[in-house]
Amino acid sequence: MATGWHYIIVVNWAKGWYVHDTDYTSTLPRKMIDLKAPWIDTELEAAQYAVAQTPRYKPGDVPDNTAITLGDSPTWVQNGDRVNTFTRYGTFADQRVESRRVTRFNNGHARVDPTVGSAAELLIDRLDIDLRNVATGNNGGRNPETVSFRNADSAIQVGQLSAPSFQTWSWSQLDEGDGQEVILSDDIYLTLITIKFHDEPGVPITDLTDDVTFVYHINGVAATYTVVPAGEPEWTVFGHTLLYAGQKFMVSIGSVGSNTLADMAGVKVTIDFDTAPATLNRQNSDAYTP
Amino acid sequence: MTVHTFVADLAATGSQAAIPDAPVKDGAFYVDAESDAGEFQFTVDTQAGVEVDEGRTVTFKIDGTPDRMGIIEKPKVTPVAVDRTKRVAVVTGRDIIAEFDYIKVAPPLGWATQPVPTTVWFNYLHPFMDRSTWNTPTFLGPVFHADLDPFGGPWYTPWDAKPGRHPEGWPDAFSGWYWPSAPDGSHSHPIDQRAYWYHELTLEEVAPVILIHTSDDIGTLGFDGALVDAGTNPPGVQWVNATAAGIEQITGLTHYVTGRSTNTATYYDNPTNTWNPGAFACVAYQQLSSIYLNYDNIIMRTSGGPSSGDPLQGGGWLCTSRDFGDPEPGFTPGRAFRLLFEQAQAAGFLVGWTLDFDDDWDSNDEAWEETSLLSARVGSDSLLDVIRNWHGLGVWDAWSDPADRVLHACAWGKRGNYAHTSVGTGVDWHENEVIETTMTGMA
Repeated sequence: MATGWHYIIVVNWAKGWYVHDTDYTSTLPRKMIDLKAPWIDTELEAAQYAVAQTPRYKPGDVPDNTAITLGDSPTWVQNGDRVNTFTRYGTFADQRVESRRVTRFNNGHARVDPTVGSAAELLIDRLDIDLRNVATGNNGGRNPETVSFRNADSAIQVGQLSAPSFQTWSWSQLDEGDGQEVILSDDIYLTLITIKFHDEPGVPITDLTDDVTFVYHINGVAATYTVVPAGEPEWTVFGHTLLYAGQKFMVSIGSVGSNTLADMAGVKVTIDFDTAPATLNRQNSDAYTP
Repeated sequence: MTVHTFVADLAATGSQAAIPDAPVKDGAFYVDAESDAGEFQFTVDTQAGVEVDEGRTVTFKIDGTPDRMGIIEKPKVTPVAVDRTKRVAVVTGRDIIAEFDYIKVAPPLGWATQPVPTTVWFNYLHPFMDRSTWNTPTFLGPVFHADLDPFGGPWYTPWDAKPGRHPEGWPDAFSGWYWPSAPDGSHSHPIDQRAYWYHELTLEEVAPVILIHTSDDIGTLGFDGALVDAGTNPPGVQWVNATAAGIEQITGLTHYVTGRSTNTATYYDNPTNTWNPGAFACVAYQQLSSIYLNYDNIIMRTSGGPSSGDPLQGGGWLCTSRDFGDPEPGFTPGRAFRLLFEQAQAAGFLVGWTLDFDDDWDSNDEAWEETSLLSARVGSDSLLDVIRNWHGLGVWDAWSDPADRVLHACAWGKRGNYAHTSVGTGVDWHENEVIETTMTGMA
């Protein structure tokens, strides 16, 4: 075919443009086709999409719609019906009725003027859709997981939770009554409390011969306690504790059991606190009415 | 000479009886557009008292058979003219399917509800996807691990999907990890397996909701059809953090949490895919007893009792999974449009309309294909826009009945006998019939 265009496809995908020459050998006049495909996230998919569009933009190809003026036709058609009629170069082909215009033209007589599309056009359109499905992994457009998304449209506030800072406590020369205290500046939820016995270089100590009890005090009042079984170098329990800003929080050793001062010599204890935010958030805290 | 008669019948209105074969003049026309409302226009003599007000329907008959039905939208009436032949009305309107243009797309839970998405996505985010085949999730283990369980008793099995690690800032000690299936012998789920989540949430009171969630490896969360969070991209790792979505404006007590998690490959070289489970955790709070994130305020969670029926023990969740390359769970066009249609009728629109298709079968009595590509813009798309857009997307053909308010629809390109009925039933238009053809290049 000597006429028509030499198409250069440019796929405008999510992060750039992919250029595809539909036929390097073509000498026809060039025409750029800009295909907007924001649902495509990778250059590879953009390339696949462009290549797959190539049949639609073959050099010299001429997809078209055909409007027909009918004369004395005994037949009546509806949209979607198949008709065999003239194509661009006067040959015949099966085509599909895409729309009809029906006119009252002479003393109450009707005339239908359909527009038909070629079978190729129909198939090409269908191909386009299938390609879109392929290019997106049957995923319904752009994959929402590929963008860091915070929904402003629906006015819903989203954010990553940060664990409130709660210093790791560590002390040595353990004896009953020893402890540490802090005054809290934020509402904090204690999720996990991990107690570790180790020596100064950090080697776990596993030879304590009796339970050690740690007592938690809030504003000076003993609230609860944890018993670390004998021989355990590390012990983790759930905190289940909501600490309010301004409270004094103290952990002390309630009992070392039958462990002697000699047993405890050189033993260092470290307490780690896993924490979580304790209040819902600023906006919602205004909404609560007890 | 083969002739077809063209007749326009005006339907009865509140003030006028039906007028069969209304006195329309030559030049009247109507357009039957594909999955759209084609226009019509006719001129009618009004001297006989013919009223052609907006909203009156007209049926165009060819050889006595209804061929199209339209609704009058813009009559131009000349009641007074010295020249009596000018006492006419030039009536324009569109195919009766234009009535779908009179109602806009509502949010999934209806107008005047909150929260709302700006687009109705007919995919896993939608509250009313067909989830009849979804299952109860598998509990993989608690989010937290300690030497004693949260009640102070001995620890139990299963141990933990994430041994020894939990998301930073996760507030609820009783939360658990879910996935649609148990891990394989290598403690893993297939790479790029996707899990989909659903929970119908019954609130204790109409008050703000806080959702906290995370997924291993990446996940999204929806609420009432709105995408409220889409997780973290690699090289970020989502499950080491918790994300909170604060939903301040709430209407009604019934809401829907939806989500999707994807188990990606590990970021380090792991050819045998070992210790790479997928996992999802979610907990919801309301301010029931205080403003704090404490147990009394929890209304739902993923936890150790997915089959318990108690949302506080992890009950009420449904899930399904898809492996790499499998299509997303979706809607049939029939189901998606039925939901929009029923919403419109519930709001008093589209009176008298029925659908000639259902969730499973189209108007050709062929099964619909499911797709996750369908969407509709809330408040800006009319239902006719939806009909047009889904046709343009290659999903369906939709058209109105020529004689009734019935909407027909079938798979794309299958309206009529071109692609549907057997070859040979078509029409030949050759030398004797065609006066002229005109091609328009589409490129």
